[in-house]
Amino acid sequence: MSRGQAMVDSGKKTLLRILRGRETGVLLALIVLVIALSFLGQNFFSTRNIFSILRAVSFEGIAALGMMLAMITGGLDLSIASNMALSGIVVSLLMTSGVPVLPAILIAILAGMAIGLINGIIITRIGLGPIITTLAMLSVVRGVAFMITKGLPVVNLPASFTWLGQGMIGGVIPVPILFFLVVAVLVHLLQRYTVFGYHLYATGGNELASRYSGVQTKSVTLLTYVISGALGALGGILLIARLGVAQPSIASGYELAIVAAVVIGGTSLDGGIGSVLGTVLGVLIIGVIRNGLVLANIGGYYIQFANGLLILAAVVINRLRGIRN
Amino acid sequence: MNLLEIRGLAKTFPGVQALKGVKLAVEAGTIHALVGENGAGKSTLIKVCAGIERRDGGEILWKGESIDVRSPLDARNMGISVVHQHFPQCSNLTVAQNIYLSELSKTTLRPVRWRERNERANGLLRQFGVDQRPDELLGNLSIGERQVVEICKAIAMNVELIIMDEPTSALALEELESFFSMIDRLREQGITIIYVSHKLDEVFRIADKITILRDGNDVFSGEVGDVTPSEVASLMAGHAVAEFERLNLTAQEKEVPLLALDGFRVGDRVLEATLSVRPGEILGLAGLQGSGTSDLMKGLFGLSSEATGTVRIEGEEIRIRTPQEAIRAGLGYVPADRHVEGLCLIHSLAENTGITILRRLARKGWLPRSAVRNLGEDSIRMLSIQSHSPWQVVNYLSGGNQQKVVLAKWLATNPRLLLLDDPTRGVDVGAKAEIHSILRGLAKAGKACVMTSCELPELIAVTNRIITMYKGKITGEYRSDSVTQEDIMHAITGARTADGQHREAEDDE
Repeated sequence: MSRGQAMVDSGKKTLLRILRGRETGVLLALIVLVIALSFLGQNFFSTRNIFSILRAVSFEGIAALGMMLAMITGGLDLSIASNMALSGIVVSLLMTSGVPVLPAILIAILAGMAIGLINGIIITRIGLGPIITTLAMLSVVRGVAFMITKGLPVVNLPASFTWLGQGMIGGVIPVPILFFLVVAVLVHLLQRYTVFGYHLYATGGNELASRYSGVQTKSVTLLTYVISGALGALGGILLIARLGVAQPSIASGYELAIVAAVVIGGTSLDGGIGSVLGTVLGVLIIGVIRNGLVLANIGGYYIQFANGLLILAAVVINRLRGIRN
Repeated sequence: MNLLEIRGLAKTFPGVQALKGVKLAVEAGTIHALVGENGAGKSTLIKVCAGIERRDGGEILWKGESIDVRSPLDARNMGISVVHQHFPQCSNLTVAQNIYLSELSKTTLRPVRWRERNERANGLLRQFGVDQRPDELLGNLSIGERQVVEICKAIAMNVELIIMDEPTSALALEELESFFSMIDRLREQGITIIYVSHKLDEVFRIADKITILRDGNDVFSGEVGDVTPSEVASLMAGHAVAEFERLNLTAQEKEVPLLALDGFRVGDRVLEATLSVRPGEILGLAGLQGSGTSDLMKGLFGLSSEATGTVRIEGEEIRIRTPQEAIRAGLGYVPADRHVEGLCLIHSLAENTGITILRRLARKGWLPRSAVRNLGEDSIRMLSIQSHSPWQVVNYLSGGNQQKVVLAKWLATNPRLLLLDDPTRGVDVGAKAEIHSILRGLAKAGKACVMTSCELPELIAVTNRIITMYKGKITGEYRSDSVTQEDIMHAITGARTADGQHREAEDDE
């Protein structure tokens, strides 16, 4: 076989791999959805609407990247939305009691990491299942958010902080989108090009094989929950900055939408498989559907119903993928 | 020089003393076979050397120095690598990613240069004759190829000693030759191998030295040339055993066969099978992986929605769509993988045995514990299962005893015809003989068995008749008392068909 022929073959193989890839299906679904929604009127394709969709998904999108990491290890982080709320409360309380913006944000992210650490320790050292562990933590963390605020919203947040959620770069691009983009790129690099990323997939793919190969799978899993906690916190902080008010009930139920986005994006519920690109696309699908519901005047009461159906659809797709493999 | 020397190694698990002071001396550059029945202590010895279990007593010398192996990583760093029986791998990763998992086992944020590593992995794969790209997903490889990947993983860590635990048990017959040539290549590279197996023909083919374990003790160690296979078998069992007793069962010439298949199909995996089984007969199905022998059994037992064709039991045409219907028709099925398909591992012996006849054990809708216990006790007695109680969790039984539990649950249904897919896989010599005599007993009582086996000598010895299959089609039928392994090998590898076509082509000219 000539060298040229070999290159053509290898090119063909790469093309096939892209076409068969999980992300391709998700992208096609998104495109179909966008085309369908464009019939709702010109509003959908306006720059304003597109940026508003992107901004609306940025907060959950950042958290979804953390959820994806936990799911690649074969686990799940149901406490992530409560974590978003608590971190938002922490940053707000610190700022209203005089701590400058940047240190307040860092401390709030550390709080998120601490929650992740607790999840990780219970899962890896005590050996409880991720679902029950993070489900309990969902309630514990949300409870702490209510306890420290006594249920009252924290108001009067500094403008330099709310800019992170409300500001625009060049008057067009909302700041949260940039955060989402940067985090996505960083997580992608972490996953694809570092030993940690390699171990993340190995642990989720076959924990025993990885352990027999000398990989400290428990440490990998623990670290993953810490990162997931940090990303949940960052998403929560930006969400509070966007709203300008920190309510302890904020982001309630987001964990299900986030799981739906991650699974729709091709991450396997059994672990070992998942990508940043897929997750971003999954998040966009959820965002576009929500936006479509609003534009079509169907209204907010249907959003939770739609989320539930999406999760079911995503799990069925996950199962069908498993059967095909 | 001894590369590895073990002195007085002891290890106790709750209730079992697995190793009672074993000694083993492995010379550098040799292939050292470690044989013993299941439960003799081979697996524990391996796990201690691999750093998976800690030893309770004794000493391990590596190149003359006393060492302590604390973790799998420790072992790899010293130059010891284990290829486990059902070698766990990450099928979601690429070939190269699996190969370098040990070498890159320290979790850091450092980047990995996959382009470079893929090239190195490619070199390793070529060396062992695997024609796969290093960036191919491991899940797309055959079992044989995946085992080579496991060996490459060890080589990548510059190991000096590879411990192989039953390395051929996962392989299909046609993969054996390339496996042995890989062993030769490792020998040429000066790598020392501890070859753990109870397949004596393989041991005598490749090993230089042999150590025999029995009940946690080493009972023999020496040159392979100094012993015969039957001596080794006796030492393993602790008493003399007949290698394979030929069964001469006179199949009762009854007019009506117990089972008759006509044009039986299972999707495209079994094509137009026509055969019959008479009472008192043990019929062997011979075929390589994917030949359709397993699919035929599954289809017959109502485990495939694609099964079509005529099935007659004692002359009566019936349709079997579910296992329930199969059981009602008097069929039993011992599946190939007892862990996945045969047993509830976390449940007790008695519960596993009773599962097929719960309805019969029940009294007015209640299931008395005593009925289940009695059944378990009967099974222990009848099949001489080594278990201290009927409530013993089957997970802790040895492979042979687990297989007897699977048999017991079908014997409880009093079947007319028992289908057995490789019933002695991973079972020690003693239990194997016992399983054979159970089958013989069934046949004598006028029942019938249909069985497969991954070991042809066993199939020939145990059965009355052998039907060969190749690519879903029946390719021949032989009397077991006059057939040779070679005849069958030809019929199941398609060699005979190929010869026939060759002859036809010549005739045309």
